[in-house]
Amino acid sequence: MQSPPHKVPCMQAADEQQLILQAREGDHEAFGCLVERYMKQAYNIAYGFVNNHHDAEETAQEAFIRAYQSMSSFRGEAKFGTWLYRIVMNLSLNRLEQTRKRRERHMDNPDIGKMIAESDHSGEVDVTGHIERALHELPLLQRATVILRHIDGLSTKQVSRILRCSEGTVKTHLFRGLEKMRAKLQYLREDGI
Amino acid sequence: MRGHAKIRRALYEYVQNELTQGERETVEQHCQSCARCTEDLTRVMTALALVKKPGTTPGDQRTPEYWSTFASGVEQKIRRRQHAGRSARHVGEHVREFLLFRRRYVKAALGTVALALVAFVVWQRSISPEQSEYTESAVAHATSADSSRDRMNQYLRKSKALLVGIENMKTVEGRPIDLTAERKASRALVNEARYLKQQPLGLHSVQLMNDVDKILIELANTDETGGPPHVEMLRGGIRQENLLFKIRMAENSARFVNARATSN
Repeated sequence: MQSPPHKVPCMQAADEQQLILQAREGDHEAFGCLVERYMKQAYNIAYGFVNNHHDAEETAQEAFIRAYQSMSSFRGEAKFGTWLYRIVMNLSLNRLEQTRKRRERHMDNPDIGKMIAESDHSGEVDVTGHIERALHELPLLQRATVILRHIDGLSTKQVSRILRCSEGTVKTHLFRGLEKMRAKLQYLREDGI
Repeated sequence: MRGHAKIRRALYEYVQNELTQGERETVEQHCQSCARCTEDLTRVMTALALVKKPGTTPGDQRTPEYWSTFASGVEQKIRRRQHAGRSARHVGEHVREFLLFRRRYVKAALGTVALALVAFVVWQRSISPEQSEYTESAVAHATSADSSRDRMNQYLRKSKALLVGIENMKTVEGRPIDLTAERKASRALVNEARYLKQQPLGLHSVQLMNDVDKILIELANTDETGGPPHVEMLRGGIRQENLLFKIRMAENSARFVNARATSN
């Protein structure tokens, strides 16, 4: 008979494998430790895609819930973080698609007042907004690579695991994505902003 | 590390200072002799200058209180979903248990359903006598309609005979005419018209009876020894209303209806 894994206090630098085993057994406290370890990074990745705090929170929390529900299918071939970030990315892309469809549905009846209010920034140039727009105009894989590798600072190896492609492909997508963004944002440099 | 493609792929890590010393030297040596890769390096540096990593991550913009409740929020959601799933499973289990172990109640429920079915069938049958009553009344109604039609036909025939008699009556100036029989017949026809007007007859029939009534009432009210002027007045009324023509038309119409009813 297999002995149950002994409990590890959350605040200690517990072994991740130990926490995963306990979480698989239904230990909420152990899973809570995993949440605390990865919540900020999961949130940042979600934000990179969905670009607002509310959706980022919803997406990150949903990713943890899905991870908990699928713990039995986690074989430990990749790191828990890589597996979780992949869930975050998929959920973020789903949410983006839903938002796009919703926006298309309401395109016939745009809120003109809101659009004017959003466009009026009292003369200030929102550089972050320009960068975000340029980022979201990139093709999916290039966008994902720039967000995960450059914005969120994951390693090339991690990104290749999340996107399920080779490290060379990650580097190529990153180079192309950055090159496109440079071309799109060149005017900011020329305007001296 | 040779070839433009490989160098290009390493440029990001070169600028971010993530390469080993050996890899860095390879990139630098290549770029010294390759204008294309040098240009790519400049582009990557420009891109990274534009797309700066934000000083604070989105997560840093949230308060420590927010992060202290994040994990508990996830846990609550997990528990809520587990509870919802469990509730659905429990309902299914309760139903199964009820069916398996509460046979007495199941039998009672089935008995109730059977009783309800029997009651329904009885109710359906109880409706049938009402339906037969309805049918009888409909038959009676149809019969009375038939008899009204017959009486109407007789009324028309008798009225026509009376009016034709008036039309053909020989009158001699200054000699009284005995209209006793005509007055009697006209009173009988006026009474018959009163009855017929209460029957379900067509509007045209009623109108015709009203027109005929005017003459018949006039005839019924004449003196027993009404003179030729009186008869002439009646004849004038018959012609003015074109009564004989109307009666013939009504008779023809009635004959047509009867023939159609017989053929059906």
